[in-house]
Amino acid sequence: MIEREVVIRNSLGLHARAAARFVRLAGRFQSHVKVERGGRRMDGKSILGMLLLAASRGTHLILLVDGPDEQEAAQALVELIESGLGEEVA
Amino acid sequence: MTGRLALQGAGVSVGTAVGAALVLEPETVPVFRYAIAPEAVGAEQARLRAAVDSSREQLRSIRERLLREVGPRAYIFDAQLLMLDDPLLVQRSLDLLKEQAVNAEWALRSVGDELHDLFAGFSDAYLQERGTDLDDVVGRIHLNLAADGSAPSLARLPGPVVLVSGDLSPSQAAEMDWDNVLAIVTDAGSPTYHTAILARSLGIPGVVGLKDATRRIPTGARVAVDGSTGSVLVEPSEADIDGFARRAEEVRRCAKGLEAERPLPATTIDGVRISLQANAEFAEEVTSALEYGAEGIGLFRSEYLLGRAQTWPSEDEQVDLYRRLIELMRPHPVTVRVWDLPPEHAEHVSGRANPAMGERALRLQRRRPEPFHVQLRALLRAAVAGPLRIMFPFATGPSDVMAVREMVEAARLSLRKDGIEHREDAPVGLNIEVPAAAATADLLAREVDFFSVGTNDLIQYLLAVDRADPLVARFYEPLHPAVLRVIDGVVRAAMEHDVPVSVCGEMAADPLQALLLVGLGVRELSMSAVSIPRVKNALRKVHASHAAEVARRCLGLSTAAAIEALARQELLGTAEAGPQ
Repeated sequence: MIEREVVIRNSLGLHARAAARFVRLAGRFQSHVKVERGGRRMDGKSILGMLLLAASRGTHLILLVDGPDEQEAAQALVELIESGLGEEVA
Repeated sequence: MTGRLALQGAGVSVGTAVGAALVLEPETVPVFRYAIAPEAVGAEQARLRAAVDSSREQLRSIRERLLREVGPRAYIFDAQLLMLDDPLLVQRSLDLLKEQAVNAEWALRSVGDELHDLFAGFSDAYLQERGTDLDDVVGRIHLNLAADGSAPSLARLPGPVVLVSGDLSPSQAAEMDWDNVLAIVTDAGSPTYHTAILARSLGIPGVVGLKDATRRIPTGARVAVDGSTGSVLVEPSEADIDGFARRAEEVRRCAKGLEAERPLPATTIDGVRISLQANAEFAEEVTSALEYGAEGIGLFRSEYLLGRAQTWPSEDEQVDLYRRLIELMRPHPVTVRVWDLPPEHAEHVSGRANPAMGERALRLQRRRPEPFHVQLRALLRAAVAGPLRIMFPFATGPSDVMAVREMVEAARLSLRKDGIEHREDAPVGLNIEVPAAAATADLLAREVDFFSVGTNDLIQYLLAVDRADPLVARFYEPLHPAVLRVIDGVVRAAMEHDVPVSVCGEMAADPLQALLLVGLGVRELSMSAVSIPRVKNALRKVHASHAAEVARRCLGLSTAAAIEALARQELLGTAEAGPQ
């Protein structure tokens, strides 16, 4: 299992469009993806779970990726978040 | 499930019932909860999956169309599409369905509500709004579940239920699968409220005016209802249920006693014959009205034909229905009230406007004449089959009579022109329910064939009391001196011009008030069919001449209490004091 800490950088945070991007990307990998915020852990392949994390800009999240393609999955997901989830980074 | 809870409202119809609650929420498709057999769980899960699949296809095609039309903003639907595959929604619903062995609708509803509450709990307005996307998706799956044909609906209930609703709309009532309704319980209303009248005419227990029953009774909870005392018990104990069963037995015994009088005419000791007729909303009620000894339908509330679809029925459909009513009732008369307050108007009057004084009946006709024209043609055609009377509601004075005559004449002319068989001289009358019409009764009597006094609305307008408002319902006094005096004036005006006058409000259903009406000279009473045996029983024990004398004396009294006391002593003192 791979564990990585990331910070939400885009100005709108993990809102609907950004969360949808994350969930779609997570869904392409076989590995289980969990996202944790302050002890609350959600399924990274669940749009409702991601929205319920209510992660705004500056929020620290922990990604937990576990499975046969965990290396590529973790790398791709971290890159997506750090690049601002396809949106402008203020 | 909740624990035992006792609620108190106004009991509006005799009888008791115990059953599972079905709570109707305004403006939404009701969600039923019912148990699934263990071996049917797989099939029920497949139903839910199929509804999710249909929802996905629909959303995809919506998104494609939007992508073409508005471009990237179609992303809103990306989130909704992902929700359809979301384990927190779909898989949890499937799991819950299996764990509790409940129907798909209920499982989805429970999970959807839980998630909705999580979103609603956010202080961030943006996230709160995501709850709207969720509700949208859940609503779409519900619609697809409802569309699969095996889903229950108001028209096809999954089994016997106790209906719990804020208010029962006419369209819901028209659609309802009444065979499976054990009792009705509503938040709104007083004993003269429309739902109460409906409960009585269907002969099922009803309790109204509970204020927050829909919030306090969960769907699926076991509920015991006593329509006589107004008591509603949620999750009753076995002892409670025994008590209810004992009272039900007493009611049955009392009804049996009246049964013996059913074939007898409603004639006073001194030989005055009174015609007791039934109020009805549906053709199905006519058979039971006959069983209660009704000699006619004194008020058929035609607007119930509009149904949930809120579409006007065609002329031919109406002819069939009115003809059916006439054939069932022949040789007794059927009085059809022309459209009153169509539900399509419920929306724009639901705000600040007062629908009771809004654009209804004849007023609406001036702006939208077509539905009235079609109905009048249908009534004149059906009248060939037997004694049919046409009644116009909400008349406010002589100028309305002109409008009525023109309308009827236009319908006759068009039928003549089309060469369609119809009856030219079907009696046309007015419902006297607005004080203005009562005050001009002598002028109106010259122009029409009959009067029917609608006491429910007349009292409401005369005393300025909204009978649906529990806070003022106690000021609604049928025996208020003003009410008796106004009815007296209408009856005198009618007699002077030889116009028959009937009373079709709930006053006619109360034995004491009915006796006073007879004392004032009324010879036709129309009421909920279940009330006919009691009223007949009271009538057969009095002299009409004595009732007339008592009514005269009552006209000189100054309070409802004094009137009631005198009438009770004089008219029920010799007659049996029936249930209050």
